Amino acid sequence: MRTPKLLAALFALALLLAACGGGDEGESSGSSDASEPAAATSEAAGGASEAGSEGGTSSTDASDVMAAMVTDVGGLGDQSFNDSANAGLERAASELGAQKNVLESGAPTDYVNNLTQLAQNNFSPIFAVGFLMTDAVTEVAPQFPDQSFAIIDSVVEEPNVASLTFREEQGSYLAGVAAGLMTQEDTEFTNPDDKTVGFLGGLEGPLIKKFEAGYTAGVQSVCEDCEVLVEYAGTTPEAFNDPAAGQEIALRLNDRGADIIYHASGATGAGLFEAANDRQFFAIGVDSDQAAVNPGIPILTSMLKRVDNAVFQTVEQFANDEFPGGEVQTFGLAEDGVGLAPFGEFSDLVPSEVTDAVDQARQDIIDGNVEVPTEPQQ
Amino acid sequence: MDELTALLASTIRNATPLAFAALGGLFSERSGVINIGLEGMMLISAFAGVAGAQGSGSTVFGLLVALAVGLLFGLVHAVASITFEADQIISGIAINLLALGGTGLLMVLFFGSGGTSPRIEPFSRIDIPLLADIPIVGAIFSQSVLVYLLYALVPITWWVLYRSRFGLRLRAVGEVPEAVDTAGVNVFRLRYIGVGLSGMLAGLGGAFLSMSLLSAFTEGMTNGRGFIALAALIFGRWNPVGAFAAALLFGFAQAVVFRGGIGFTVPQEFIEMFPYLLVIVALVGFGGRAVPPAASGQPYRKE
Repeated sequence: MRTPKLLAALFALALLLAACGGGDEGESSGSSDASEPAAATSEAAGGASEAGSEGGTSSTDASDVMAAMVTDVGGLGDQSFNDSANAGLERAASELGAQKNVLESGAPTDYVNNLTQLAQNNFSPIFAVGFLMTDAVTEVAPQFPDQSFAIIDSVVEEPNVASLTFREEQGSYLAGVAAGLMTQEDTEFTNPDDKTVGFLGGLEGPLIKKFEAGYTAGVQSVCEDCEVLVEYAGTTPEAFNDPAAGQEIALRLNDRGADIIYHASGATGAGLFEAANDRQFFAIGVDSDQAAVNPGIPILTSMLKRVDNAVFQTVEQFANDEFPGGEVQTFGLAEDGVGLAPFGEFSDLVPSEVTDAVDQARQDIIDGNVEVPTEPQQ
Repeated sequence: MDELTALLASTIRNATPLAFAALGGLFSERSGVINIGLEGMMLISAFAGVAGAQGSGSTVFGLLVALAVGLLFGLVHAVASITFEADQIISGIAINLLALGGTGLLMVLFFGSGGTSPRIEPFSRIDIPLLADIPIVGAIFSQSVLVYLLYALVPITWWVLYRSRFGLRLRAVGEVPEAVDTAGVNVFRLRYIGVGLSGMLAGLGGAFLSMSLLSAFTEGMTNGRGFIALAALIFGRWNPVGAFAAALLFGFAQAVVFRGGIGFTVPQEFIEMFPYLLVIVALVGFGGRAVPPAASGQPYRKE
């Protein structure tokens, strides 16, 4: 019987590749080389504008800090929060002299193994990047009570786990202010007669609703009679990975008058950029400065989620023996955890009143004069 | 653009990748080989097209690479299921897994990171003179060159299947391979051709996604379209015209959801299950039972 052998081989090959697909770069990026000054160069990848607590260099000798992270299945190279978290560790390595190690997860089944492996090698703090790892951290952290863990975008109630969450609604509010003002401008991408903007969400659920709520509130704060059209790409996690669907929705929103569309939909947003390029309207990116990696495409700005700052600050706290174990840390505008990317390529079209209004809104939120909703108002 | 035109244009955009893959499935299943690897063949070709175009600077060359890789994956399925008589379902699943993991790995090797590839120059839209100016239906004639290729392939496939000698033999191999064998025709050769064509056509569907509809490859971008194509094939009763019509129907359903605000809202969950629901309806025999080719799924062994 030749059949089973051949099939087994084919299957093994398929599974091997499936594993490699996610975890390929583990070797190279995992080299923990703290003394290497070259690590500083990769910092540029993380932050467009160097923000955060400069000069807060610790008095303690940080070089014995061994920080590590486990990516979720998105892996390094996602141009999103895994890369951003890695940039935070890079910065900790170069500025604080911490050792770093990165393990990539090819499949959800790798989470527990990767976390355990790092813990057994005495890494601390260990960052679990993404809410998908909530259960894994809940399982592993109690087994290593003397070491510190941190989880991004989720809450784990263990004394040695810091939960790092973000106030995406605040950054989205700034995106909304920019959109609400720019839709009233007369530019090659916007039509002042139609005061309509759009929102493209990925998986419909509480996390993305935060983006929608903040954005809508921001638009309406500067343009009361503006309409915000909202569409979601789907109801399964694949909704973050379907650029063709994103394009269809974006074209539709544009047909209905939206000349600026903000997305919080992961890779689905690539379809929005196609549509924006095709029809020449403005898109607003998310998580990282997406205009910087898509030159020529009309991307007005991007809502930034500074996972790098959160990771860096947490390593710094650890080095200063102030690790917030058992606490929920929220990173908003005040903590440089979220923000708005510079207008970049299309800044010539943006009048100073718009940038002033964005700055004012940022200040109002930081000062507590504006409370941004986390759920869409009906 | 008025509402109907936009809806029609959207329907065609959604239906094209489904229709290519459904025609691919048709050649395979008509020859007696079930092909649930359509999804994987689409995905790997979507990647190969972008990688080829990126590497050579030529979109047409990229398309040829996509076709070649589709053919290659078709032949892998053929070797496993025809020569080695493996379970065709398992071989198809293996191909889907191989494509999903393989493209993830190749993204890192080719472009340095996963996620979404750099952009390429996509196939541009071509307006057919006069026809494109007709109100509403003009949308049919303002499409990418690959869509026109699809328009041509549907009648060609029908003719090949029902009017050519090759088509007669292909259908016979899918129904009663013993008889074909007795007549002195090589069953294995015919099935290899059917499955190979299947891979190339599915590859065209994938290439349309990444090189015409969009202009970059994103990991997992086919997102179940290969399975919906399979549903279209079954709902279309293994007939090229029927499969094309089913693809249009599914494309229309997607367009209605994506394009919302046409007076009423349809829950997204409903549309996501719509193609599969219709397949069940077709299989239980509403409006004439859908009967697959008699020999499909069974390896042929010479006595």
